[in-house]
Amino acid sequence: MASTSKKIKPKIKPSRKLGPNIDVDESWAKLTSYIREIQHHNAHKLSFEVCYRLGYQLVVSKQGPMLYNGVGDLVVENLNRLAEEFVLPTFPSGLEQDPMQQSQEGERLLKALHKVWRDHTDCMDKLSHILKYMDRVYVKSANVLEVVELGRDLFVKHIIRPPIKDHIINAILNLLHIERDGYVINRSAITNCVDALLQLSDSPDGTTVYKRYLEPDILRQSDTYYRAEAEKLLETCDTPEYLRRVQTRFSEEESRAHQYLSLQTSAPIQAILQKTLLIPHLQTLADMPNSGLDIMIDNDKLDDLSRLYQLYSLVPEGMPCLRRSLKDSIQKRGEELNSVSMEERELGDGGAEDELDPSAKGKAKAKARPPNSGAQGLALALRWVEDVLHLKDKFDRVWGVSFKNNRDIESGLNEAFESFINPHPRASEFISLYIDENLKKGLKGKTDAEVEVILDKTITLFRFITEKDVFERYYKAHLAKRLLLNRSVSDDAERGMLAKLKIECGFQFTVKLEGMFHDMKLSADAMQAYREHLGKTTDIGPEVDINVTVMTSTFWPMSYAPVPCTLPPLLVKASRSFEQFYLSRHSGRKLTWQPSLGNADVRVAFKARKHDLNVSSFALVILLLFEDLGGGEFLTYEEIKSATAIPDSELQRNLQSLACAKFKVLKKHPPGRDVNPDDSFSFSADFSSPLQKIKISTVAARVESGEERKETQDRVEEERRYQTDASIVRIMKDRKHMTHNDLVNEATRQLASRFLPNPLNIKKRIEALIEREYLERCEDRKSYNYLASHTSFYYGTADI
Amino acid sequence: MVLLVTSDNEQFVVDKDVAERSVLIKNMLEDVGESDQPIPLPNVSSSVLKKVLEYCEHHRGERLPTTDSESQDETRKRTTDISEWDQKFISVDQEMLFEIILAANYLDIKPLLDVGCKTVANMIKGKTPEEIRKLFNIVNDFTPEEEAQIKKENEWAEDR
Repeated sequence: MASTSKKIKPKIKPSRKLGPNIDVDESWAKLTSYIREIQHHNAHKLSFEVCYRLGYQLVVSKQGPMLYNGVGDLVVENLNRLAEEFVLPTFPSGLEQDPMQQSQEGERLLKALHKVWRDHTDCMDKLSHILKYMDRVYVKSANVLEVVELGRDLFVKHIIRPPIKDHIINAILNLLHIERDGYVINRSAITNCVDALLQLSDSPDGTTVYKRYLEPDILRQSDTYYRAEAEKLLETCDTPEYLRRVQTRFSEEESRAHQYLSLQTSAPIQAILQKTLLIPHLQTLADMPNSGLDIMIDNDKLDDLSRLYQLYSLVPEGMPCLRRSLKDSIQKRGEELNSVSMEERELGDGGAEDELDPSAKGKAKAKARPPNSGAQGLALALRWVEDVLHLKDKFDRVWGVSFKNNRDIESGLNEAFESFINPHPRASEFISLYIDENLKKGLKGKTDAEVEVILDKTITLFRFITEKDVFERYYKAHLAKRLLLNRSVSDDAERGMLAKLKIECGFQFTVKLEGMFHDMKLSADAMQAYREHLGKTTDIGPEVDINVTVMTSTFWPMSYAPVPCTLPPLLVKASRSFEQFYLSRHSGRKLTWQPSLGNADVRVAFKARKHDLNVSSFALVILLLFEDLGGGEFLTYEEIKSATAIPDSELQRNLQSLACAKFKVLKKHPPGRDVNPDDSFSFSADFSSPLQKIKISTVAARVESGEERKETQDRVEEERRYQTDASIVRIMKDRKHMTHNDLVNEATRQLASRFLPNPLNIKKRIEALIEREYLERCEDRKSYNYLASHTSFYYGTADI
Repeated sequence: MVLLVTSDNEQFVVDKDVAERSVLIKNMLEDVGESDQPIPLPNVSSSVLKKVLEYCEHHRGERLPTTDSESQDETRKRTTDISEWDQKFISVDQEMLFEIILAANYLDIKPLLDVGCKTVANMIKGKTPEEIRKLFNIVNDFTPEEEAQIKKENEWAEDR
């Protein structure tokens, strides 16, 4: 390339057409008039190329600065003309009072501004095209604004200035206010204006005029407006109405920001709404008398509650507040249920307290009551559980429908339920009773699915109980009764319940319960084998048919020491026969008879006819005493007692059921409802009943009496001591060395699934273990060592 | 189709997309609208416009460089490479070369302007001031003192 050009003789001459010989003044004069034509919408008369060439020539002849400034001056001149002509005459008079008039005045001003803006931008677009060469060459090297930007800059300086600026902002704010008050305004007028303001900027960092001047004013005004609105609404509206209004406000402002303000204003406006309408009034709204949260829940206002949730979830303070209010509401309702159940118990169960009173008078009264108070107590327990379940259902529905299954709320609900169920001293017992009742009769005629629902519900209540071991104890007792008396309606339901408990609390929790089921099955097998065995060796067979349930003593909830009872020879023979059979098959086992848990079918010949009676084992023993007596002969209480060796409490109960209950197969002398030690009894040969089979159930308070409850408590306490010991030893065996606090924490954690351990008790157990040399205290007095000599230690009773 | 009229009154009929390689013509068509009216280009002669149109024809359909593509601008400025076709196209005598550059500037055809200027740059590259003066027919208007001063100031940049 270079070599080629070298050969050519250089002949560069300045271009004739572009030389400085053009007349600058003349060109500029021409261009000025052309620009004026453009500004007056007469561009069509001009030739684009001529304009461009004029600009080009001026720049090429180094007249850039002159051209640039000249154009600026022309633009300013035009802007001033436009302002004078269109904007100034539309300034609002400020005299109008009527909102519609005000709105129209504002609209006129905004429309005028928009017209000026549109004219100006159109014009600047055209100028930028014909002055393209200047933009490209002069603007870059001189580092000044391009024509279009120059236009915007000048617009800000000469139109958006006081007083025009203030009038515009006021007009917009006014229209906003008017619309918020519920009048209709011309939104597009504002939109156009706002669009222009969004494109303009007068600060070096590029903040738009909108952002810098208009938005702060809008926000300030909104804040004042809505603050006042909140006060007004609080005075005039109830909670649902307030929430409805607020929700409307939220959506209105949202659409306002989208339609004619900037999207960037949306968030701050919403924040203002939250700050003025919601946050300061959350608690007031929830607590509003006659329409607050409580009332909405009472009346199942699910829609209102949904709205409440939706609005409260907008602000960070909302959830905790809602949660707190819900908790209060539940707690209040729960405590009402509790106090109702306790109060009625006081009334109906007053006798039970008397039972503890050893005085003769107290006893006499007490004995009159149990049948009543038992049934009443049971009904009360069931009602309490049902009420709690009902409450739970109610809140679950609200939670599911209105609160969108919010996890946070759920945990609040659970806490609330826990907080009133656990303080109820007999919650565990009542829940277990409820399950017992359902498994015994409640489930008859219900489908599997319905059964599932009921069991699931009770499980949710069970979950709230912290002292699960107490529940276990009651459940075990109730289950034992159901199994032994064969009262369970459905084996499937029983097992279903067991499976649920297992899921909740793990294998450990149900292992004994399952053992009980297993025992029942083994016993059935054993009985079958025994019958076959009897069939083969008829000579030594007993005269009565017996059915034995062999129970593993650690599984079943009963005292290991048998209740004493002298069996008549007939029964002794029968039991011996089974003992022989059983021990021949399982050597090394020990059988202990528990007559207190058995029952018997016995055919008794009365004068009128024979009846089949189903009675408890004790009652059978008592009845057999009368078998050999002639009619009209008496046995005194003391005679019966010495003959049978049945303890007082059991004896009284059984005599009462035989002589004082619905079916009086014995006569008591003197007659009365209570059995006293100086009474005597005779066989009631005159007894008659339309029924062939009669079930004489033992009178028993199914709800625990105070005494029994105390005993249960003691047993639970004892069990807990063992479990705490076992847990501590297990932890220490693993860690060898631990500080006091760590040990207490770890033990608490391990035990929490069963009950809520008290740190003081754990400390006591640690001390007891130190005494027994499982642990030793370290030098620092704050930690313990595990003593390895006890590694072979086996803690049998406490298998958690 | 667009009708272009040169300074010597010759008419050129070209496709719109070819003519619009010139930003001037593009803007003009946008503002004025299309019409059968010829577009006068009194700054360009027919021989130059022919050459320019040849370039536009060849590069039609290519993306017009936008002003805001700074990074692309940078690489474009830094290299003096010229594509093969463009090199061949620009192998013209010096007067034509300068006419093309002027026309490209006026018509606002940035890529063509670049090609022209790079060619001139390549011509200057590696030459002494004296050679450059000779090449472009420039009269030395420095006094010997001034020249010595400049030479001294730029000594560090010289090829040694």
